[in-house]
Amino acid sequence: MASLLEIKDLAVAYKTGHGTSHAVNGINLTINNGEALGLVGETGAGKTTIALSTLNLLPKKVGHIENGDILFKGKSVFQMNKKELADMRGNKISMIFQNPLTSLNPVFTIGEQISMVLRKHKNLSKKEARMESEELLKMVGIAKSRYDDYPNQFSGGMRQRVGIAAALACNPELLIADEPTTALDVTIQAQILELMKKLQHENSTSLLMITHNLGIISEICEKVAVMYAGCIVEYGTVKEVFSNPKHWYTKGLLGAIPKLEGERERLTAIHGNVANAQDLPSGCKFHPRCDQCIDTCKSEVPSLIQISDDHYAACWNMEVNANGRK
Amino acid sequence: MATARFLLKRLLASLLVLFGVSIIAFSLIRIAPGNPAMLMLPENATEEQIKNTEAKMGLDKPVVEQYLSYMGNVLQGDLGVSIFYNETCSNLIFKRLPATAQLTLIAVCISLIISIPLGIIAGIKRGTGVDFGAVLFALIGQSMSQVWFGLLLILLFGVTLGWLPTQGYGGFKNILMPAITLGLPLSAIVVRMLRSDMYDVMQEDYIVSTYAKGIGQWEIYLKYALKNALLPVITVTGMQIGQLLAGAIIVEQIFGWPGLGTLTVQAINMRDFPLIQSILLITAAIFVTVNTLVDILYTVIDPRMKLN
Amino acid sequence: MKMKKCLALILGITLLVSSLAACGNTKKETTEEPTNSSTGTVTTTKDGETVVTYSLSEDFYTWDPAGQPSMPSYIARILIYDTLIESDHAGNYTPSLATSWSVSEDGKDWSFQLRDDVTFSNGEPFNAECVKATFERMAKDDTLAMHYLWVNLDSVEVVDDYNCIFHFTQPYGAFLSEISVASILPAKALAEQGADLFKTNPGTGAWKFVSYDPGNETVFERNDEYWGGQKSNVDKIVFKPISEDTTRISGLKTGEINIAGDIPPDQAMALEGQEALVVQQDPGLTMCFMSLETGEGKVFSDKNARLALMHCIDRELIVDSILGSGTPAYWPTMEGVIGYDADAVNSKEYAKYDPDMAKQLLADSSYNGEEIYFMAIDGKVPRTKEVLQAIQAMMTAVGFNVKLEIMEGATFVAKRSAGEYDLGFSNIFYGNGSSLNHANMHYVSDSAHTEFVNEEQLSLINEASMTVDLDKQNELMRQAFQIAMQEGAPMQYVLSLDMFAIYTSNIENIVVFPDGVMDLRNITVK
Repeated sequence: MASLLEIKDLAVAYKTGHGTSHAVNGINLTINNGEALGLVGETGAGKTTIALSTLNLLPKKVGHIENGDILFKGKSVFQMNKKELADMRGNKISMIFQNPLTSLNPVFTIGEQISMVLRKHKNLSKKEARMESEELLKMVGIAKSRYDDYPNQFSGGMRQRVGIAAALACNPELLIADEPTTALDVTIQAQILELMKKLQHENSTSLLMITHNLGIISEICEKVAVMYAGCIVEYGTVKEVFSNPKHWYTKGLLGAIPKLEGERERLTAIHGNVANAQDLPSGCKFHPRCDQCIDTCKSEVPSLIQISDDHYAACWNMEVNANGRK
Repeated sequence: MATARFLLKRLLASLLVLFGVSIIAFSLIRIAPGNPAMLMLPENATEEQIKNTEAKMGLDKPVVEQYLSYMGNVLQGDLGVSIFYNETCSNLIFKRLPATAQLTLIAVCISLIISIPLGIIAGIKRGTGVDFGAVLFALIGQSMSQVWFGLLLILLFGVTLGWLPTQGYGGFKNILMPAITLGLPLSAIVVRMLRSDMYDVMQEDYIVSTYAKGIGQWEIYLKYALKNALLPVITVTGMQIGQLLAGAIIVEQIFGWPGLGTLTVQAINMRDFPLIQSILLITAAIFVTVNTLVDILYTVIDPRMKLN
Repeated sequence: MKMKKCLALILGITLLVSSLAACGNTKKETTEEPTNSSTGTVTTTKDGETVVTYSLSEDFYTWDPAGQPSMPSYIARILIYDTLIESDHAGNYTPSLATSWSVSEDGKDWSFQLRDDVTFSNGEPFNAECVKATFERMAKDDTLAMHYLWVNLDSVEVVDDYNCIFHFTQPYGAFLSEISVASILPAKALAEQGADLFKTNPGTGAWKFVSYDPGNETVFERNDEYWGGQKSNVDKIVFKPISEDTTRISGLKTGEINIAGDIPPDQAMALEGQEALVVQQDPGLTMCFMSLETGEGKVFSDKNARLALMHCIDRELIVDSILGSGTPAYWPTMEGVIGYDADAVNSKEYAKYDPDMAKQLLADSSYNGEEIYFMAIDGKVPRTKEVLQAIQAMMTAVGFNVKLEIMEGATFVAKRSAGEYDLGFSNIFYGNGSSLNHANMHYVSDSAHTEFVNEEQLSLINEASMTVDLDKQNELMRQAFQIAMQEGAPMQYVLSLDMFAIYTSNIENIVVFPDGVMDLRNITVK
């Protein structure tokens, strides 16, 4: 499989008047054609930053690419000119945003917000765009008669369907879904996921699924990358990583999910708070919260070590307890 | 249907407002010291002379009776006869109204033409020279007195440069300075609001998502962001109409513009009761109408608002 | 939704169209696009007409010559109408519509012989009926502002078309002065149209009324059939009311305005020396005075308190340091006005500035620090606030406790006529150099509600009012005013104002009278 998107040594910092936040600290990721990659991590781990960087959409003057590059089909998104960027965004790579309540423009009809993508990239007339948009609405389960309605006339789930319809309008090669279901209630979540799964299969679109919900990952993705404080701590096939987690953070995350089957266990929580991106700890970023912390962890940054064919983890102390449970 | 119901509701509310205005106007000018009969007569007029003149003006009857007969006439479309001009108030007012309407409208147009682009650019180019200029403009515009500003314009463009006539009614050249003076505070407010609104809107998720759709920068500024940022501006402009009408009184005095403002000042100075009442009533009616229009305009632009 | 959009669109378009239409209209109406605006030029219209523009701070209120007069209407009346006789505004009279006149022995009957070659601009011939209609209207209708001047007019007898006799119930001392400003109206048109006559204003004068657009402009047109012979080379005179002084002056500088009045002294003096402008400054006939409420229980019922006030004000300081123009008033009238006393003025006998004396007088009075309510009309003296605060400070310095309030005219008049004050600051102008009007209005009729009564003073004024002989009248008034100065009541006088008129230097043959009235009849342009 050829790689569609390559993220190389990416480091991103936000510089504000209050200081510098190191949101992403040297990340390598590859997404192949037709592949679905899940990116998990707590809030603030740098997931959304990766998504925005991929579209070269970091907030101007604030977001800085400190190091590394992102290649889309071998071409750096940071080297693209305005036209190339505009051509890529919404067309080859499109994105579904986390909060459907705020990501739709309140003063334009949902129809307009879908057809603006079509008109931009497919050069359709207003009429053609409308017809196609109505098809897209139908596809995501919204009656086409609602084309002229405004976002405020829709529920959150419906709005996210609109967001999905707009994102899929041009059959993108890569779809970035940034926590697409977080703002939705559980039943709606399931519907949306079903929809995305279906659409991804039908169009063989590559997917970067960003979430903190491990369930979603196991449902949709083939591979998963676990992020902590702007670094990838574990990477591999979903099956491998979830059944045999190596990094203590991954283990912690998995331990926080209740099991439906088997013996009841007390849920474990990872103690402490997410690392402060403005003042990151030395060595392994997770060490202050890690129960298995050894001296090396505090001083030296671990790199990803291959564990099996499709499984990597970055930990100095992963051999201590292979089962991962105390 | 909803629109019709809204308009009907608004109409009823407006009538109530105008009724209130009529009572306030009527009683205020009678509470204020000063008697038109005495002002019309020489200082040594006898009591009898004053009484006769008051009778001629219809001011001898009890106040309530005066009010009822005035309102009776108003309901029949008769605003009464001015004491000093010896002409119907409606004639006087509608002769002057076009000049004020023209001045106010052009003031709004000019100030929006200046302030909207300035506000947009300042909003999207925060921290640049343009932004600094816009902030300075807004500060000056809001703090400078219109009298002072108007006189400065006259001295510069009228006297020193000789480009524009210093005063008087007439074509575009005549209206330019008064309209700019009148529109100055509005321009300042709009620049200030649009600057911060535009900035805020540009940070919104839906703008980032529009970028993610590949839409170009300027299309986003001028179409997808501006429409949001303009909403508060419309509200403010609507509310400023009252300010503009009040400001017109001053600006008309400065530039010798024969509008409602100069008529108002004369009417008040001479305690021309029927004329003052009528001017206040008509002005209030205009104000209420404009605000209704703004409300309608608002619902057109912002689908979240419903007429009610 | 659709409906709303349509509605808004229609409303928007209507507004825009109406505003554009308004603009379009005005463009058509504006015939006077100035062809050049360089300093001191006369605006010429497209048709090659010469137009002169004059501007004052106020507009016309009434066009009825018998209504309350204002400066614009004084000037307009001279243009549109004629009077029976004319005055040089300093006590000398010459024929106009009347060719000759005489008075009976008892001073009650005045005979006039009239011109027989005069017609009004509406075609009506001028004759004795017009004189009768004009004056009897004022005598009979007590709602007219000028009624009070003619209360003693019994009738006007029409002897024949061109001879008439005024019959008075008692001799009328100010008669000549008053008829020299009384515009003669057309009898027939007045009878037919009543007050509507003052929408067209037909007169016999050198200029014809064309149009009046309130607040904007009034246009007069040269009357080439003027019986007195037309001497002007100007086609139209346009009057513009501009209340803002600075704007009026700016208009003068750019040449948009040719003649301006009501210019504050400091601004006028700043224009002196400008080549393109003529700044005319003369001692005027406007006197600033204070009326004293002397009723029972009031501070100024005490003569010593009144005299303390008289001596505590440094009139020279106000004139020199605050105004920079004008004349301190040590007497109720100025030179050239009936009742003037040069010796009293030169010696400052009555109103000398002497704070020690004022303190002593106040100590001798019954004054106990009660608050004195000092009110004033804004704008009656230039730098109203500064002048009045100076007076307040001077009064405070000798021990008065003064509360000053500056207000607009209507409020002032209402308060004063109700006697709700101690001290009231206003001004009067001695039109035609006659002080009888002031004396009758403020001393005899007590319209300022001073409640001051001095029988000797009143009888002197009454006698003067009935004295036709001007020398005798002058002496009687001098005596009456002397009592006022000795008593410090009912009025005290502060200063007289200079009169300023400014016009572009290409304007010639205009007369500016000491009372500020301008005679523009014979105006010519270089």
